[in-house]
Amino acid sequence: MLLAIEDLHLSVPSPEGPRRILRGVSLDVSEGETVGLVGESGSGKSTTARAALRLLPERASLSGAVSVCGHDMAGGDPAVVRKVRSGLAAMIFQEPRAVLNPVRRIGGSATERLVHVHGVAKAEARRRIATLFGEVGLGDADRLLRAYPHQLSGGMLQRVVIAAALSTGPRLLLADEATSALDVTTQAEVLALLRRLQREREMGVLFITHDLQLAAAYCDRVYVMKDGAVVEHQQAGTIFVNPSDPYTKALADAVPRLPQRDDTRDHTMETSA
Amino acid sequence: MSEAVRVSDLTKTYPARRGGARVVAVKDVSFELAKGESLGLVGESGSGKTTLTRLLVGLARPDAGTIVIDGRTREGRERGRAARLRRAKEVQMVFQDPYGSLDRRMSVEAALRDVLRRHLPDPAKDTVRARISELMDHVGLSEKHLGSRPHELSGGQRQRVAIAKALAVDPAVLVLDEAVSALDVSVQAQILALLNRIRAETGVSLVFVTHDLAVVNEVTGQILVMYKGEAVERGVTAEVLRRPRHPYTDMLLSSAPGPNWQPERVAELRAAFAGTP
Repeated sequence: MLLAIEDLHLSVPSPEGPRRILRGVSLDVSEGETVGLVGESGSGKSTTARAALRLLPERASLSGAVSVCGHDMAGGDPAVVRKVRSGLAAMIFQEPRAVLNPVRRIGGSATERLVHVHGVAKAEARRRIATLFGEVGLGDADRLLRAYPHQLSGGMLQRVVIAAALSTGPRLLLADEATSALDVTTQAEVLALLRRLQREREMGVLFITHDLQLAAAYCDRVYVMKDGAVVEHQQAGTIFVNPSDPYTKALADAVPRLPQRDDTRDHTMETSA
Repeated sequence: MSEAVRVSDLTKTYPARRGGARVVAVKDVSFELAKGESLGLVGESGSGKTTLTRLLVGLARPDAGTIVIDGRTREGRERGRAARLRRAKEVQMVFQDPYGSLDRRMSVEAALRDVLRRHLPDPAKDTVRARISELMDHVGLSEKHLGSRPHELSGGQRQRVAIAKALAVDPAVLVLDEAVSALDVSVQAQILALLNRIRAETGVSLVFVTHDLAVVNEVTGQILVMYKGEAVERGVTAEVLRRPRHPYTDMLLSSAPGPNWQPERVAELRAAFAGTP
């Protein structure tokens, strides 16, 4: 098991008494598996993922078990936390522009973990990132490494961030709304890429999204969260068909749908291309 | 006069970087929108939909073509306060992030009063107050929210305030630029229902600018698909989405996650499309 979270409770102090953010969350992710975590704003899905890396406020009080590749993250042993964060797990976020330093060249940001945490020589780190750029479909690595974030599109930047996340060979990837800011076509491209990389490396992916359609179409299993608790856990294929929880059903009903296509001409693209 | 918008052969170019040809953002786009109707404007980033809306609201001037809104042709050189206020009554816009369009220091009431003072012919206290309650009622907010500032409201409530502000001047056309994209699905559904109701009650025409085809399907009667600055497909939303004629529309449709969606297939389609001129 790459990620195992069991009965995780989390609360932060506030003037009105402790605020309970998570109320007994249990979930797991195995090798090669894509697991969706769906819910609306404030449901606790991001906090759950951050707990896996122990990216939590200092004052938060935590109970329950969190383990990444068998390492206990709930205890908070600094050596273990460092080991997991620096190599075993990586996280990508919605907005690559918020992750990359705008006044630093792409090469500097992308090789940061390799150089400063793993002590890889700069030239070697750049070579490894250049190879990864090729794998995520970014050409002309030399020019890219010298570019600044504002010179690239959102889709390209997200690929840069994915390449940087993969540079340390993580076993577990936490994707927090990683494609939500992209156009649907770019989103599909990035996801196709992510799936290929994941299969090649047998990574486990925790895929956080507010998009129920996307989770159902892309993931193997889906957890639905509401108010800090998991209310539903199902195979992705059946989540729309027979949601067991009324909240999941309400969510599914709220999702706007496309009409059925008249697919008499399935191969339009081939004929016109 | 039953048309709210008539746009003919609109073209807009921007100067390129050193030496290159001018960038064509919008090229020969024409469409009409009847009063009380709704239009979906779809396309990827860079397709020209934002430039087209900027032209509509008067934030940019076309190089060629005409815009007629509510029966009045937009003049080439409109300047000054009077023209600006008149344009504001023709077209109003609601953006994706209401935080960006609401002044954080102003309460809901102050924000609405500010708009009404500028636009009402008779800005007497009583008329303004009556109109404010009417607007709050329209967008489904209660009187108790009048004193709230933007940070005290939820995302959906903030978007309702932005809509109320836009409706305050009773515009002929309301342009919604990704206005529901950042909202949770349940809130999104509420706002879409609200917009439909407002359209029925006030007869305002709606233009939805979005990359979300499912949203367009739920709330618009007409659709305009843009690609590289050109309108590649136009028609009745339900028909276009069911039987897309242009390969670009077809590709956009297969990009949307749903049953049988395969990201790898979409990537192939897009690569094939990028190869066609």
